[in-house]
Amino acid sequence: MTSPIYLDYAASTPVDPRVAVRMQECLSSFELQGNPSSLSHRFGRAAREVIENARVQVANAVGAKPMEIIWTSGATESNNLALSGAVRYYADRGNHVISSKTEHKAVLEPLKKLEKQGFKVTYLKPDQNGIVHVDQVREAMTPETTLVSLMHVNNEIGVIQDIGAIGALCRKHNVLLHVDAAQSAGRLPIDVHAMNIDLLSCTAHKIYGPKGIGALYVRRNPVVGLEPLIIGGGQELGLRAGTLPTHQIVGFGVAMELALDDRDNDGARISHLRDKLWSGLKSIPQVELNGHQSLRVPNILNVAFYGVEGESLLFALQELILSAGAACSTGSDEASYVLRALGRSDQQAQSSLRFSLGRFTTEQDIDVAIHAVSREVSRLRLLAADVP
Amino acid sequence: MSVMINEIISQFDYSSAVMTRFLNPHHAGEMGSSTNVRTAHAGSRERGASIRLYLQLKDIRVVQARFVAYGCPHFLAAAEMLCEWCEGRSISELSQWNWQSLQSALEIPSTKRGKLLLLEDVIRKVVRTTMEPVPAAVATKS
Repeated sequence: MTSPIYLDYAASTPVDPRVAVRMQECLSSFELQGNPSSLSHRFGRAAREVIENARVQVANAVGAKPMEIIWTSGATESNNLALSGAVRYYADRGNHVISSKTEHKAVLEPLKKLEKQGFKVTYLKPDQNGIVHVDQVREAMTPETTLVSLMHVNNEIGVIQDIGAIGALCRKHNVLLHVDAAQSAGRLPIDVHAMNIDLLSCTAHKIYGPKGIGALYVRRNPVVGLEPLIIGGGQELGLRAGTLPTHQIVGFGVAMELALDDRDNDGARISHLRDKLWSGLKSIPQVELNGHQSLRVPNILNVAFYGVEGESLLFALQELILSAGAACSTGSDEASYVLRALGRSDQQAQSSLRFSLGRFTTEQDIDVAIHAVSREVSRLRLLAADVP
Repeated sequence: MSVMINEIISQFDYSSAVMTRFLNPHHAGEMGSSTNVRTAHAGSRERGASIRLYLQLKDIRVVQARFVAYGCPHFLAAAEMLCEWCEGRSISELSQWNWQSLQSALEIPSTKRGKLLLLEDVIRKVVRTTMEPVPAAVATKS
């Protein structure tokens, strides 16, 4: 059997060979094996230098200053640090947070924990296309609101929120804005200052970098206060203790730089492939696109195939590697809470698959995918006939 | 690896017995109504699994079994295997069928037990139909 076609880039991207080469160089160089905090010797300073270079690369991608980038283990840790850190730091100002029902679990779970600690959280319901409107945020604000946390791009359906408008509102009301940009950093233009973002989470493994490394942008002017989650040796301005993983950080920096260099070409090429895929899939009877038709990233397509059980379709598509939804929810046979929040029934949500394309997807891959999905949807519908 | 992770993986790790039957079922399809065809339904799409089972009888034996079903790969493979088992059996043997033998043969995880119970429901229901008189409309048509 030939290798299956990978269409799960939104879950994780393969490491770009150019990133792997730079990481390997780091791991092979004795000089770069020093502790980046050991600035008293040459090896430590050499490691620190490549780390600071990567910090510039990541900062450039979001319009931040290098000193505003804090290294973490990934977007999940960044989200935890941003939410728990800021909400607890500003607890004397107020105890209310605004977020949405379609956030990633890495935001929803820390918020649940904060609720148990006595904080109040309003979860906005997006419209049927997955969009949270600025008016909803305005109406939810109270004098007690200290933080708004919204994702830039939804990981299941790919819709893009109007972060610029929400940022302007937050700034006007002196409320902090945290943005989970795991799916957008490196893919969409982001300017944290122009968009009035105070905290922004991103990760390497969604942009062809290694797993296990991420970053949190923390605004410095005026400074945003955070209570650290991990304390110890005082690294990262005391906000995140722990010896910095030089090769991971270098990989993240290179991946981000490549993402920026290739963004326009990659975006246009992947948009074309996504449109071709949708054009093929929508010729199958009874299919529907989940999420907004146009406010979406090029690489994610979430489609409901009515009358087909999702797990069976996923398994029947032996030629394809893809997901029914967020990888983090795998193991649960509950319908996607994101699709449920858009008003889809359990059965509609269970009939949906997420196709996520990437840098290494080809025209031929899309042809194979359309053919395989058409074949298996027909087969499974025939198998189910008209059972109620 | 922890027990929990193994359980999660097993939910998506289909045995070769499941793969074969799910990808290439020989008993999928409907049967037209006739005096010697008995049928029953169990489950619902809303609950994630639904099956209609058809048994063609000759005297007291099943000569052919067919199903149409909506559900996960484990459920569809189990429906296929149930049909395989039914063919050649007598009606009284059908009443003795239980889901446990099928669970071990197909290596179906315990989290899917509810779906297997639907198969027990459908076979009990179809056996009950053999004790009922054939509906007049069907009797006339045949």
